[in-house]
Amino acid sequence: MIHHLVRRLGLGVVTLLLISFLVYGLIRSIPGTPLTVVVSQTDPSRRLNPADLERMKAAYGLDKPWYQAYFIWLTNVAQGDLGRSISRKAPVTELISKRVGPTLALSTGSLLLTWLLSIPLGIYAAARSGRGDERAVSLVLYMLYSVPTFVAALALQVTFSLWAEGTPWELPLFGMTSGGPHAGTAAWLADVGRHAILPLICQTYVSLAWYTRFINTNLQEVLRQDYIRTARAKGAGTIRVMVHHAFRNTLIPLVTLLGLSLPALLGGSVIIEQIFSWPGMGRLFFESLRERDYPTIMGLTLLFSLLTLAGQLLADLLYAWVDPRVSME
Amino acid sequence: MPLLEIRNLVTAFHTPAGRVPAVDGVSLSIERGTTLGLVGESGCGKSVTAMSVLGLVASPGRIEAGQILLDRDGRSIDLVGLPERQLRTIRGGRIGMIFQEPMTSLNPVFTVGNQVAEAVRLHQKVSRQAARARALELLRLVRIADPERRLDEYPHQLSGGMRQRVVIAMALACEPDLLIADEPTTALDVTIQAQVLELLADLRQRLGMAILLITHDLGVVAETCDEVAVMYAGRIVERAAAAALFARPLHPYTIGLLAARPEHRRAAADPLAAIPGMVPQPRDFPAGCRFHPRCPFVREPRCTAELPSLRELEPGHLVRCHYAGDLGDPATVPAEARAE
Ligand SMILES: Nc1ncnc2c1ncn2[C@@H]1O[C@H](COP(=O)(O)OP(=O)(O)OP(=O)(O)O)[C@@H](O)[C@H]1O
Ligand code: SF4
Ligand SMILES: [Mg+2]
Repeated sequence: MIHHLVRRLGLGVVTLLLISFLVYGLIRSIPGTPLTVVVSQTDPSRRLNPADLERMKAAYGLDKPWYQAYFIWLTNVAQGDLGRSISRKAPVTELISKRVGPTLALSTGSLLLTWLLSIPLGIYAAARSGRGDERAVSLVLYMLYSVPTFVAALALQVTFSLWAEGTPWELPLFGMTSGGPHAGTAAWLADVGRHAILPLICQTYVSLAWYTRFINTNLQEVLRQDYIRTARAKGAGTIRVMVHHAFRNTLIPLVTLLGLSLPALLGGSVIIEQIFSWPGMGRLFFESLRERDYPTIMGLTLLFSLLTLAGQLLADLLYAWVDPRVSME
Repeated sequence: MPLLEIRNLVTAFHTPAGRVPAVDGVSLSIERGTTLGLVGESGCGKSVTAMSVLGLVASPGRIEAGQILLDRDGRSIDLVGLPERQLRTIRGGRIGMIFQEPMTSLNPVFTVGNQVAEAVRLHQKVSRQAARARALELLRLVRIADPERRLDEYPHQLSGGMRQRVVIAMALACEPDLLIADEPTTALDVTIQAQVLELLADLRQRLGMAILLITHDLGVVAETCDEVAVMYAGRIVERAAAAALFARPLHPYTIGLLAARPEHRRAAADPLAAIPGMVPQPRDFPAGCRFHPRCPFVREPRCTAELPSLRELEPGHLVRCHYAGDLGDPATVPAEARAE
């Protein structure tokens, strides 16, 4: 196991380098540079004079060929410097750290909700497999699963903002706060909470449907195993068989999934953050891509790749932890 | 009163393709402290009979008729239709069960000690430590080497024979009156088989329990059983004391089975040495005597039209055949082969 982890770590570092190299090459080959995009945004009528452009290019290292620039970036990263955003005039680390909180709030909330709801639902569905109520639950979940996020978002916004206007059910459409209360106070927390409800629902319903189905299918497979029959023959009741004997075995694929969802925890959902103007990582990525903000894109790429790698390691460790057949030696 | 008496048990599966009567009117009885061997070819309904006794027939199966009477402290209770709560106290409490597949019969994510102790704690209000101590005692009882160490090991660290011993330990946790052993040694290699059978015989003596031993192997039956019931296509076709059955089998199917035993195979000139034909599937059981397509003694029209009843030909020796005791000469070519 240790051997396996070390190997995975080594492979991960290589993959990381490769990904960053490719991404760097790719974004540099998209038409437009940060400078042209920034300038045309601030004032479309004004054209930068060629001398100024050259000076700015040199300042940001854009005058060198992309592979050279990549190695400069890599050297800086190795020294812990992710560089400064070109379009936002701030250090990339500062930008990211500002956006992490809102994304984490949504994603951990959504993950928690998903697990809290899908585990009992999945166990229930497996225990009642084939009966009317299980079929109804499965059908509803399947329908939810097929609703695109933007449709769900629209439906939620129409319901809770337009129709519910003036009622206690009215919820804010956009943003994370209404800007009233001071950050950190209880009133501010309540305000953020109210803003988070709709995006949270939006981010949860698909994974809820998916996880419930995943747990249900896995449980049904486990319930066919001989050791379940043994447990029944011992005199264990349905609940004990489902929760103690069967679910404990479905935990094995489930924790692997948990590890693999680590990058998504920080990545955020571009669509949801965009629709609800949620100031998170997904939007930062989307905007910096539009602005050709190379340092920010690279910083985010690096972060997500690192998290993917960490997630895989975490999945391995969790797997070894819940499955006694995998030994740590 | 026998310890367990099964009367006209019918257990059927309701599959999309139709009703599958896997057990179709089985009657059996087991006296306290004795071993009953239940034999028959694969698919004849032995396991479904056993699972019916525990009330564990998997959906879409259902017990449709019959009684399963268990003697509980002198009172006879019918396990058919008993509420689940009470059935749970019977399972693992009064009736223990062991299975054919020792490799997969233990939960891979719990330790051996945990699983044996669970069998204790499901039926007795005892502390964790007491259950663990009892588990250790049980591992000793089934003669597992180095039991202290095994307690904290996981099933994958044990050999097949050892796992089967653990399953036996679990089944014995509450000193049941009856142990149902469904082909307990089929998956084990020969030396281990002998050891496990010997262990079962020894435990039966020490604990005074009865055993329902399900097996293909007539050699095992000859060595360990007091009584034998032969099953064919969902029904009992012959029941007798083991000695009587081996000395003088009455049903043509039993005669065929005995002749098909490996030690008899050398006399291959015998037309019964291996029973030709296939075991019929529950959905298309033949009319009349279910054995008639394969029976060398078949006589038209009675055998193909009329269902034989289980009659007591000799005291304690029951047989389901119209002509048992008076079979006449076997046809050199059995019916099924003739039809081709
Ligand atoms: N879940 C099920 N659904 C439908 N039919 C079933 C099911 N389980 C068993 N059967 C049917 O019941 C019949 C008897 O099965 P059973 O397992 O009792 O046989 P067996 O005598 O124990 O055979 P073996 O020696 O192979 O264990 C089989 O022919 C099978 O067709
Ligand atoms: S009843 Fe007829 S077919 Fe059936 S076993 Fe007896 S002789 Fe054979
Ligand atoms: Mg069987």
